[in-house]
Amino acid sequence: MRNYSIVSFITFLFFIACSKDESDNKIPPILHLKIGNSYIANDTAIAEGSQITIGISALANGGENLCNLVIKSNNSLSLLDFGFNAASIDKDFVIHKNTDSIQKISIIIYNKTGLCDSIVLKLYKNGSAYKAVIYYPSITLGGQNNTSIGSFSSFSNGLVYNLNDASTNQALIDLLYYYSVTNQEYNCIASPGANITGIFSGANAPEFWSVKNTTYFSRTVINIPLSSFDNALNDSIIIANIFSNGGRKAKALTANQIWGFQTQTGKFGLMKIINVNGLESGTVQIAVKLQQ
Amino acid sequence: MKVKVLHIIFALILVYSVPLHAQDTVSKNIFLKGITVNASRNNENISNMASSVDVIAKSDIDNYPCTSFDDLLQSIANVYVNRSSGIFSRNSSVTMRGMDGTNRVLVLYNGIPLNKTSGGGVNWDIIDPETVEKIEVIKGSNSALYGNNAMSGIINIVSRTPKEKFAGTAGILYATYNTTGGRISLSGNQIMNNKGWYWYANAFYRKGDGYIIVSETSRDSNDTKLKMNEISTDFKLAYQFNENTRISVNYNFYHDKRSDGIKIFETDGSLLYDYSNVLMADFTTVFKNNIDFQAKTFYHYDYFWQHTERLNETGDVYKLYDTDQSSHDLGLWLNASKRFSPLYKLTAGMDFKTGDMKAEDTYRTSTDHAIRQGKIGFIAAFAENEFQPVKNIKIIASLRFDFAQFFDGSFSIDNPTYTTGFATSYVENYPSSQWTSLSPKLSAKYFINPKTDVFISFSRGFMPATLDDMCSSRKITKGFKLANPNLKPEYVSSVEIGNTYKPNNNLLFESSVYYSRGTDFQYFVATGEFIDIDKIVLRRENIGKVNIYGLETSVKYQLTNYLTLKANYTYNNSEIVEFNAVNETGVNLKGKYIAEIPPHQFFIGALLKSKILNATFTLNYISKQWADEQNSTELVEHTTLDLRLSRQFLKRFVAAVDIQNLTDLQYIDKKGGLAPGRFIELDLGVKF
Repeated sequence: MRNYSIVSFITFLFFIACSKDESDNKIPPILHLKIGNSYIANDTAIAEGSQITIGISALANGGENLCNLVIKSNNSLSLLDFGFNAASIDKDFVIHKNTDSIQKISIIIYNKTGLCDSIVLKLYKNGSAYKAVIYYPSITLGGQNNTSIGSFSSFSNGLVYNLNDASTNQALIDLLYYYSVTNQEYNCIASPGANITGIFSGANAPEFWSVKNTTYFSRTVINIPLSSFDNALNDSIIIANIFSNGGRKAKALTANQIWGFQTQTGKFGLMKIINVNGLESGTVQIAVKLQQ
Repeated sequence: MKVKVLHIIFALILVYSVPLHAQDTVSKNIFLKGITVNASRNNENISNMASSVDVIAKSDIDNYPCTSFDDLLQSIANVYVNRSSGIFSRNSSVTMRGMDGTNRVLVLYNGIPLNKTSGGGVNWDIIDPETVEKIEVIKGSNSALYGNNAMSGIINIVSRTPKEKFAGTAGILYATYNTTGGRISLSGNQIMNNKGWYWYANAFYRKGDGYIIVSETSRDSNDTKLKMNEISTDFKLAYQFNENTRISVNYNFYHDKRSDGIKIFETDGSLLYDYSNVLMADFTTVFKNNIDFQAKTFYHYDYFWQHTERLNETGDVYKLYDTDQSSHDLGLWLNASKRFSPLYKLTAGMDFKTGDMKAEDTYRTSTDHAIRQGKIGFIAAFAENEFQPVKNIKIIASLRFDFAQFFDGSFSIDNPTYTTGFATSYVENYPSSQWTSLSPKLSAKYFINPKTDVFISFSRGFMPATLDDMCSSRKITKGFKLANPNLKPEYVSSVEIGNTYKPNNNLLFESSVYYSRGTDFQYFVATGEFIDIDKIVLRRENIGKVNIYGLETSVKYQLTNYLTLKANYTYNNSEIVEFNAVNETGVNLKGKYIAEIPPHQFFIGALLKSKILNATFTLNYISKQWADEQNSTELVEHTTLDLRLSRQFLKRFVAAVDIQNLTDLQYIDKKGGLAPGRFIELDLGVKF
């Protein structure tokens, strides 16, 4: 009987030693909107397409750390979904007024346990501020082994450069194309800032460049019909699809995809994949619309 | 210095390999004469089995270098054990016969399945090697007796039966990376005149500071050590009514808390808590008409909570999310066998099993909340005929019918963002589906002479999809896995020829060649999409046909009464020969080799047991293998040397040192992580 008691006691000790670390802190965070000439205020009338700066400061207030800041338009479209982990945040965000006559901007701050605080801004439309776009209807890039078509291009001029020319114009180059099965990238457009190594050979290869522009690409949040891209005359569609979390590569390209991008200088644009043809010696053809 | 240490160790082995007055001998019975294999469902004598069978006996278990149970399996031909971070790995992958995935190996504990219905895998850490009496390994498909999971083989772990009225052991350990631990084991046997109770209770605890798995050149400030803290307990209570009838209840519990090596903002970084519970009951009797009857029932409950934080390469996207997953398995296995004559035996039975899983992913740095769940049920009946048409030939014919149903499967997501890649909140209820399968096996063994026998077998295996593959869209090591509720069962047909040759009482040769053809083979396929910027999207699909052929050969040589040598070699060629899955990138996997299968494996073991010192030295060679399905990344070959030295002193005390990876070889695993290097464990135990 004594032996059973020993075993039971040991088991009991083990069970109490392995409880999950769960917080019972139920204090919600506090969110404040910054006030001043630089920031948008509630009930403001503003032209569609105009840039709006929202300034927020938030505190955990003794509760769990803040983890998520969400900005939504009209309670549906997520304009910003920012993840972090801190006791406070003080940040400014830039968004654009949409085409609605009344746009409700909801700002919500969540802490780690899901408790939140929120503020709603109501904005009225007053005229239009959309601008025309820069349009490159066809840019054809060659793979890294393509000897006749260059692999590099610039959003500044829409021109295609071979490796040697690109190396001498590093500040102009925003994107490059290659094919690789490594990490299942396949047909891939990347920015020089993506640290591409082992694809292009020689002393002029991008890994040795002193200036490497970083272009961010996003497809996950871009959901645009091809016709909307083709018919866009101003930057409204670009502004409506501005993203906050991009990658430095657009991987596994296939025809009729639309990718969003943001240049090193902060301008946003859209890229349509017209066709993809082949492997290391193949080509990719794209159309580009970007903000002026 | 490193070389000097090795020289000293080898010199010690040589000096002590001259036995003086040996207390015991190693592997007294390398031919395992008279040993019965419980994994055959009817306690078959090993020499009568028409399959490739290996048994690791208690004497070997006690002497092999081993820090986790699955380390013991490395000594068996054609078993590939991958526990790349040693004791700091969350789990181990154990595969056989050129097929990837632990879910294709049926793992039994005293004849009761440990594979979970949710993912098909096994928590090897729930087994403490100290409690194991023997390990039986039957290679090749055995779905004709066991149904799903038994595609490439069966591993049956048999726990020990206490012999003394009351006994106990206790021990402490200290190991590399500031690893400490202890174990206590109590047991009793009150059987008198074949009637009475026996029981045991074991507890094991271990914790370690771990190491950083990222190589020094790629390390950044977010990489931290793989800390580990684990406990396991194991209780058994049995009552023997008479020589043939007994009932037993067994409860195993395992809990661990591990860090996954990344710490960004959270106090403890990314963490994982695991809780595994297995409750088993076993009733065995012999009816008056000489029918052996066994009933086994089991209940598994597993729960894990994972707290994950990640920062992307550019440092501007941070994610924090929790995963809660629970799963249950409940089953009843019944079988009876009767020997009608010395030449004819019939075994038949029925199996019932049901399993479910439910998992929730709650993102803290975004609003996404996903729930995935599903259930599956199995019912099966089988029969096996064993007969000897002539004196030297034994024929075994088995047939099993399985019915499986998937139901109540669903996936839902609330408030999704770019993090999970879903456009809007939605609920998808998966349609239920049913499958049936007929799994035959026909094998024959020809005893050419007392020294030589040969066997041939044909078998067909069957494995339905796991709940996790059908219901779970979630992040995995390889990328982001999409649920595939339409995944169908896979089938493997195999032909095998093997033989045993015993030229004298000290030497045993065993070899086997086999060919397997898998149809509707379940395999990961990249869809061509990326999620969360750079995570590859994969889905388990029925890709088509695979061809696997190979051979295994082993030799055991009892050099003296105190020294046994073992060696084995394995070759596997596992190739996709037909690829029907369609994906966006159009990458055809036809002609590719199955990932994570080394074509060549080689093992050498030397076991010495003397009065002064017990020593076991093992060498494991693993050849190059593909790390990914596209065969774009190859893992380098590696050879590891392990050593265990132990000595009993003052009658009650045992001291041991285990050295794994003696040469401190640094190699990269399939996930790109560093192996832990040389790992030294010191054990001190006492018996009472």
